[in-house]
Amino acid sequence: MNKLLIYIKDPENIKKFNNSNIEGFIIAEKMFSASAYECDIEKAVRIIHDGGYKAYVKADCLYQQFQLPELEEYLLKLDNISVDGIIYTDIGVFTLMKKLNVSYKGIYAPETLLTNWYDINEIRNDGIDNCVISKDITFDDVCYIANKCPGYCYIRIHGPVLLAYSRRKYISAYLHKESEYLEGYYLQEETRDTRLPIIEKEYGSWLYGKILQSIRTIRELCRKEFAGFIIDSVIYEDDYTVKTAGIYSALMDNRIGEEEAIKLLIDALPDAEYTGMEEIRETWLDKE
Amino acid sequence: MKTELLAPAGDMARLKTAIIYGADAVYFGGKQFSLRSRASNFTLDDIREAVKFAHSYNRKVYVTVNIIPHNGDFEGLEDYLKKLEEYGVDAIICASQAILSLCKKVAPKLEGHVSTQQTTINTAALQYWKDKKADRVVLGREVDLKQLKEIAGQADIPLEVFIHGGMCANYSGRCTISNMLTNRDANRGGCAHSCRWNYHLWHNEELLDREDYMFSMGSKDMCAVSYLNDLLDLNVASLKIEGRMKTAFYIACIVKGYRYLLDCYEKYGHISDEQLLKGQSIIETGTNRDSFPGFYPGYSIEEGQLYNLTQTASQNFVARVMKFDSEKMEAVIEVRNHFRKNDTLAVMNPYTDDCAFKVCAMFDMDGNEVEIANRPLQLLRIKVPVRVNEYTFIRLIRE
Repeated sequence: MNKLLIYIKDPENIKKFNNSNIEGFIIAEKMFSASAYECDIEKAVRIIHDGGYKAYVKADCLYQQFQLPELEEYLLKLDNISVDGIIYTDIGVFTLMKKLNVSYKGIYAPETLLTNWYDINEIRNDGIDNCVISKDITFDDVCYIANKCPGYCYIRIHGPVLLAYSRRKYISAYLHKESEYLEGYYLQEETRDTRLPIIEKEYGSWLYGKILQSIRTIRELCRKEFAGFIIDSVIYEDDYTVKTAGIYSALMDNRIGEEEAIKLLIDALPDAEYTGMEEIRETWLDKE
Repeated sequence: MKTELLAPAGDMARLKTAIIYGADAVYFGGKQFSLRSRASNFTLDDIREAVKFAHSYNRKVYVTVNIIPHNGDFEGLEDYLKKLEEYGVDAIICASQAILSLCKKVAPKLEGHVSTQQTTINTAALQYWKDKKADRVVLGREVDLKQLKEIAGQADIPLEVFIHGGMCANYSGRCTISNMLTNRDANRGGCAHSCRWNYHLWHNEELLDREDYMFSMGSKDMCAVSYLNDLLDLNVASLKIEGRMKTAFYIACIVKGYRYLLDCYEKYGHISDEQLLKGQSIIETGTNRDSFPGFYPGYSIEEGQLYNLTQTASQNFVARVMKFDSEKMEAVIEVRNHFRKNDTLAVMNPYTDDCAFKVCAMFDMDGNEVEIANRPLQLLRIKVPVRVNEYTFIRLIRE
């Protein structure tokens, strides 16, 4: 059965999760991820393991050449503190993991590049342990991939969609002031209403879209064999994540229906804008 | 190894222009499997002709197969790769592991170059592509010179770096703003350049729009002339110009400028400041977009962003040559932008300095004298000071 991997900012909050569908929790170190949250990784892993869960670490950055020595040290440290896996964006992490012969598993999550079964099969043959399917393909494509390589892919079922990742510090450049970390900012295209969260750190910016939700597709997804389901509400507070995980768990256990789940989701964060996984259409190749 | 100058080609005319003006290699997309779906792109017959033309000048041809494919995009790919190999294409530029591997399997004579869409910016990622038997890697534009020196010093796979043209504001291949706002796929050739649009910037409920211009992610173009000596010293395999959507005149100016500079380096072992200025001035005749040296000096929040985008295309290019009578030193030209009698024009040919001349008189094909050339595609006869041909561009020198 597909289990949940859930990103949390504060590992102390794992006590608030009360369901049996959780395999593990994802945490992130500020220096090697988009996260702004100061996290003592060693302590966090201990808390998560003590709770009976697996501990995964997120490394959702592309690393510049000068960062590689520190990255190597970090990957070794993760091995020493017995993390269960790392979810990484930079393919170089895979090379370093091989070189360092670490014992935890690597989950390649480049966000935009794993959009078909052929590439996923290719990286599996390369020796990459698992991957996260890109979020911008249709539900049919997701199901096709799951059928072709059962148990290999994770799928992100809930959380804000990462629209763009840049080396540039957009907010600082526009406002002519530089800060170590900027959050609580939003972009709104001049002719539209949707506000897109943007965060900025020392080495770049991350722009997010609406929150992807899978309320109407989760049961169909449960019939496929994924490596697991990921809930990653990276820019929202853990209390919201606790509520969403509860909703999906209840859906997976058939304790609630889709309509009730939608209502609960809206109640959890009333101002949030959602997009359903079933709403993702095949993209156009040119202006129609 | 001599560093290659690699130029884009949106269609056959632009391909020929790039080669005549001095590109060592050209790249373009076919009708399928390529980004820049709005560039004219090449049919298989065009590709065969392009290879024949380029190889007759001892230049190379790379075909972009650089979409991030969806499940349904692989249909016909194997046959396509076999055809590219059969027609003598030198390499494909691809962004997909599966396409690279398929190419190695079914078309082994084709080199596989890894596209910048994969955002390779460190030696660990580079090693992955070497292990995949890639023949070359196009680095992400975010690599600065200091890091490039380190990467080039350790790399045992040929590197290609950008030196000129438009820049993705975000890491290439990692952006789906266009997908979300327009449903046009940024990674399959449909990018709507939504990064260049205007946005309001909010901090929680506070609107932070400046009075003078709105927020945009748009980037200035790259122009790395001032870093050319450093890049050539590193002996990278290829220096790439971006711009498959650009005009033939643009391609001619940019290629001519960089060709001049690369030839100076080859001849003297170093490009002098004076030569850099001259090369820069040739390049600038083709574009009026703001530029910066990309990330080579290191990232700076002060540089590179482009707000309030109002720049229009350069109107320096005023005519193409259709015929030339060497006895009368008279050309039939086709008007592309307006100019007047007594304006100063220049003949731009490859490899030689532009030759300025005053338009003392011009005549339509019926022999009537014309004061203002302002009808696009009108044919006119004018006297020219040097020999011209179909690859000559006539440009306006603004007072």
